[in-house]
Amino acid sequence: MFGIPLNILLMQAILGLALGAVFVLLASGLSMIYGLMDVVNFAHGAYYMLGAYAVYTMSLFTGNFGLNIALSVIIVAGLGALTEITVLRPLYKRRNPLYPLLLTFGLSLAIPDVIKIFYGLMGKAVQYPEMFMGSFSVGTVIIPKYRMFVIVITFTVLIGLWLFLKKSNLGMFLRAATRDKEIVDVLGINVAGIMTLGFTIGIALAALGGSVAAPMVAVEPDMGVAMIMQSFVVTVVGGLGSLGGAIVGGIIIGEIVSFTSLFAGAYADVAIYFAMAVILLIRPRGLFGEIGRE
Amino acid sequence: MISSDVWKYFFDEYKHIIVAFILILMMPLAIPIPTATEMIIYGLYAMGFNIALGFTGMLSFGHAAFFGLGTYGAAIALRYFNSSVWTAILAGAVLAALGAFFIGALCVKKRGVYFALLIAAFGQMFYFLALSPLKHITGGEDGLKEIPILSIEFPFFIDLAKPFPLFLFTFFIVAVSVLLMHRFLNSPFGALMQGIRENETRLQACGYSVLFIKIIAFTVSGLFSGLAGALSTVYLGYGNLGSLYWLTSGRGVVMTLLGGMNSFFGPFLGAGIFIYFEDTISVMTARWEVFVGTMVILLILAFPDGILGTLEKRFRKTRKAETSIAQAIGNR
Amino acid sequence: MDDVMLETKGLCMNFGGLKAVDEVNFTLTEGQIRSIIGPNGAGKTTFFNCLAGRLRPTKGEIWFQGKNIAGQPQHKICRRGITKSHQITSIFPTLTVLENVRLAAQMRVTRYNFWGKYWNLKKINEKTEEILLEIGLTDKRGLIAENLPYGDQRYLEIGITLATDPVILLLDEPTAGMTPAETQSTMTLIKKLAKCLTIVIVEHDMSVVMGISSYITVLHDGSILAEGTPEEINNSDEVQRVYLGGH
Repeated sequence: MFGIPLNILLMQAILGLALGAVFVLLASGLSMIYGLMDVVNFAHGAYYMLGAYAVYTMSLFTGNFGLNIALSVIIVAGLGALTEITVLRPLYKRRNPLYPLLLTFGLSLAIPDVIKIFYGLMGKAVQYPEMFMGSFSVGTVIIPKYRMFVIVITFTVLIGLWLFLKKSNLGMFLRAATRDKEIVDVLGINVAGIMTLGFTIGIALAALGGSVAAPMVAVEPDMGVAMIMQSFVVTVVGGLGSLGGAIVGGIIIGEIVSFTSLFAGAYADVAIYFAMAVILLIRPRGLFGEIGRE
Repeated sequence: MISSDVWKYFFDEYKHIIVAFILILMMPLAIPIPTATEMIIYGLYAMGFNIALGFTGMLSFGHAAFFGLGTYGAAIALRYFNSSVWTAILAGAVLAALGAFFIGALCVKKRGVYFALLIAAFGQMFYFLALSPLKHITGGEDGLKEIPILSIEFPFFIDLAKPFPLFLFTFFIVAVSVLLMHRFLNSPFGALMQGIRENETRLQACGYSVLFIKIIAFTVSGLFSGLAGALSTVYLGYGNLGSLYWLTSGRGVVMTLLGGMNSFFGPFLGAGIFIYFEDTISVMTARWEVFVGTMVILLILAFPDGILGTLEKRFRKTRKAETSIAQAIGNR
Repeated sequence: MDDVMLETKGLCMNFGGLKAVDEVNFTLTEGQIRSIIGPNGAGKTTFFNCLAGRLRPTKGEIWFQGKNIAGQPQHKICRRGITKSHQITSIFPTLTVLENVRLAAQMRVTRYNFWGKYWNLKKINEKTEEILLEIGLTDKRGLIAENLPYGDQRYLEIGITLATDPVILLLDEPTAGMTPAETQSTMTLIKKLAKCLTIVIVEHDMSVVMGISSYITVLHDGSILAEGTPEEINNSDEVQRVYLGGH
């Protein structure tokens, strides 16, 4: 097809899926934060970057990759919670809803440069963990092991998230608060705590995205800057505020990027923003979003 | 938002604008001239942006598209057509206005975050088009260089290679723009724009075509932001690709909200402060952005309506709105 | 005074399977104060929204000034002369009372004036002052609209609607939430306005309806149940049963 052998195409599809997995992690966090707090979190890319740097730092101390990732996510999520409580919360009561957004933008400037102070300007390399080095074959298709790992872990985490939201009490409060904060408040539930929790989960997802992406991409202070805009594309395509949408959107955009870089590299980026514009014009709520969720 | 009548008594008087102009002209005494020039360029950019946001209620995350159209419009005119500086600036502003008109006409039915992200999408498309596929025209990552040394020939000679004449020329264009904006925003049409911001369905119910008003407002907004972009090409001496990057859009939003979107000069002040910190602190430390980022955060927490917006509110409390109403009806 | 101002023929508004307005033939005579009453969900506000252009009717015609205006956008219908006030107060919150009315009054004079000064247009200012006097908010004209007490906001709502110079004024529950004194004032205002305008009111307050209407239409489940003078409606058993009894 297109003069390219099928097994190459399939491999590209797997790569696209792995890339999409990272998008899914970021977009679902972004979507959750937007759905819960009506805040477009411009700092999301910065926390993704922190996740990557955390893994790098951990790898200097322990060799256990699983432990690295877990610790990284916990630490960065903790930072996220701290951010929400200290600087974001005071802004909710302000009349102008743009101020929390403005603050996240300020953070997106400040955080990378704190990293630059401590880690320098040059990128860092994070090694692939031993057990996931190399690749395996299914028929004639070569699949890199690590990519498979990324896909599997994203899938697992999302199932866990879905179960949490659907089956647990806390998850139910979160979903309720996304729809109507006032009622949740009237029912005696601590809305502020819910918001912090939601924000923390969102950041944890971004951090996980950065942690797993670390061996695959260039770990540098500005790695979040490009990611954030692309995450917006995914969230828009999937639907702001929808978890399922983030998943589908992530996969779609991951595949688009993967294949356009194969066929027409220069236009790859133009393509995804064009897709974003088309979706916004024809079906603004995205594939799975709700109408009226502005 | 301060009521329109109260606005009027604060900024309607041309003497307030004159005072602002004098202060700006005095800046070179205390601030390095290139920084001062950059401050007023971005001041114009932010004020153009605020025509859409603060006045009409249209948030856009992609105003870099228009700043960039202005930048490249001017750069292309200078590089490929050997045009005069006046023509180049006009070309940039017109290109940006056309861009805003068509993009606005396409997107204006969408509201809120969707509209904001739509404009951002266009901005990104322009950026990546300029970066790679159109590299042969735009010069790609390095920007559009090889522009001849700039000077004004008409009506009298100004050597734009020297910082102070450049500053004065830039100031002249910015000042004329500010006066035009002021006139436009205080016109009956400008009042309608504010009506849209306040309650667009109600305004529609009063017999106005809201879509049409929004398109015009957005076009004017793009025009002035694009003019700023054209001035930036003249200032830098080349067409900078970064003018199309979404960070430029983001900075526009930050500058506007920092200074206060609820006031006429707020965005200008916000831009000035932002650029000043950027340029001054970067000399002191290599990692200035931490401080600018932190500064932004602190200022946001301290000033609920932006710097100028909050100050205006406090100042307003000591005056009664009533007095200006009488002026509004009878005595003007 | 017997001219037909407005006439609907077979007007229908369906939402999915729900027939909110069902084959309504409604005739409005010049100079009337016409009330539309009916239980909740009878279709009164939906009917209003069709007349004003807020909704596009599924079927049917609306004849006004010799043209079928069904489906036209709201701003065009407003310019033609039919304006509606809102059941839920819809004003320009952070502008002054004066500016709220002035913005609406401006419509008849200028829309695309980019150069003048908006506070300086004498005709518009005079009209604004007139309306402010009419609705009794002259002394409060410098106040910010959202800071007004509820009743005054309702008056402002009417004022904005009036300022567009309609020939048919549609009032959607104008006295909702008003104190008895305010309701009285509103009734007086409406009677005064009826001398130069034709007015249609959707109302729940029976004392208001009986007090000012020249003719009443009763809606039920989207269609006209009965029409008549206040006495006729009061004496109608059917209306009593469906609406007035349980009210």
